[in-house]
Amino acid sequence: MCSLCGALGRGPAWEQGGDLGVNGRWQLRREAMETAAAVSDLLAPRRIRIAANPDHGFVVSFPTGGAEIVQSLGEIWHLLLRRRIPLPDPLAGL
Amino acid sequence: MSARSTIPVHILTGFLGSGKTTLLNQALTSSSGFGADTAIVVNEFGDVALDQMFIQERSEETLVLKSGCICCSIRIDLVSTLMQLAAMSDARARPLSRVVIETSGISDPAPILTTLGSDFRLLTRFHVGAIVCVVDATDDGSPRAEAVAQLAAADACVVTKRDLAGSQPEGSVGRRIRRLNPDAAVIPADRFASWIESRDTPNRDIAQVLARLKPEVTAVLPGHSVRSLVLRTASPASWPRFAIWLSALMFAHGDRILRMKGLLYDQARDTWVAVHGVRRFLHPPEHLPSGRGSTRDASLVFIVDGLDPALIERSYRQWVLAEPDACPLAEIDAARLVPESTVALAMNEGVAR
Repeated sequence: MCSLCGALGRGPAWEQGGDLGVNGRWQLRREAMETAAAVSDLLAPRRIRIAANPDHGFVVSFPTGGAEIVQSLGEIWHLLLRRRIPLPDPLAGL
Repeated sequence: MSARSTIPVHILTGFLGSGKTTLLNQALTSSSGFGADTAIVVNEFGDVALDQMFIQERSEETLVLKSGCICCSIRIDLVSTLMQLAAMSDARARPLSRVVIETSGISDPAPILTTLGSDFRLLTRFHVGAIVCVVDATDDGSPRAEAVAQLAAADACVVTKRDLAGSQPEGSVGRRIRRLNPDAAVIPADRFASWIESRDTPNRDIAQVLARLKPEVTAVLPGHSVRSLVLRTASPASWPRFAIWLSALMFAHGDRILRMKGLLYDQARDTWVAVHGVRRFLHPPEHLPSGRGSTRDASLVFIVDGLDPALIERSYRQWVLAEPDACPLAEIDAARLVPESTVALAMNEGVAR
């Protein structure tokens, strides 16, 4: 289990899935928060905030006050698409 | 994701007439083939006598996710079939060790992967195993798009009808496979069952895989816009940036990314991480033992259709390797995705009614 599992995979919580030890657990938490912060920065123009959910995935908060829990980064993109919110594209502008 | 107590689901794919059923039948009847702990799911009504096995015949019901496109289809028939198998496994003295799904000849494996990776009931009982593509050695023409997608998605290929291939050089079919899917193993038909069994748990020789991959962009097939890119580059310094880049890339361009595989070194944990995906489906990352080789570089393989591989390489270098504020992500032209979503919504409403 690493932060990549938490961001890409589904099922286990960020902090489940093995004997992480104290350092491993803190590293996971830090990377989970870094992931959430980086996506928040990306979506800042849309005033959408992302937080690392202690149990599963992420909490996506919208400027209108609504929030949804998703399990992975892929589900964040799905959610944006469903709400007709433009998606980040790593290939655009190259 | 540590889910090795779950049952692996392997996928046998290949174009119409390539010999999938024959191969499966051989694997079931041979003394060195599958045992009674293997369940078979066939996509079509089968007339093969599989007396050791369970045969689940299922229809072609397909439900499309609200927010998804066709490659994000959820196959509800497959969910119910697999859950039946899970219940049967629980009732048996010897539980199932694996499930093999034989797809129809024109199926894209992506919806099956999406189903396995998105249904919560299945996630607790199954995990995705290997994808094996049957390739017809006599088929030397320009393959259809479905056949290209099947081959691109494969972890391994079995070449059939070698004896009928006539004047074709022995290695030509192997080269064809290698050009389209450079990481795919080519296995003899008589080793199909044992190879599948060896893939019940991840079994990757890091050094071997790294040695096999040569950095290049290859034009795969005449008449097709399919390209493969092998990118050897530095491993990500930041896993969050890599995760965001990969998931956004696969989501925005999954319709044109037939296959993605990657081996990356996690310096903080001194381990290798394997990531792979088919279209918009990303497998849970696999943690692998530290390789014996001296390199710590990442290897990424992309098989794309109608997409410039150079863009992916530049994007990786800018997004994953650059300084955090050096490469702002642009937004995708949402209009390209919205029509698919509209179709999906319409279909979903139809199902709901």
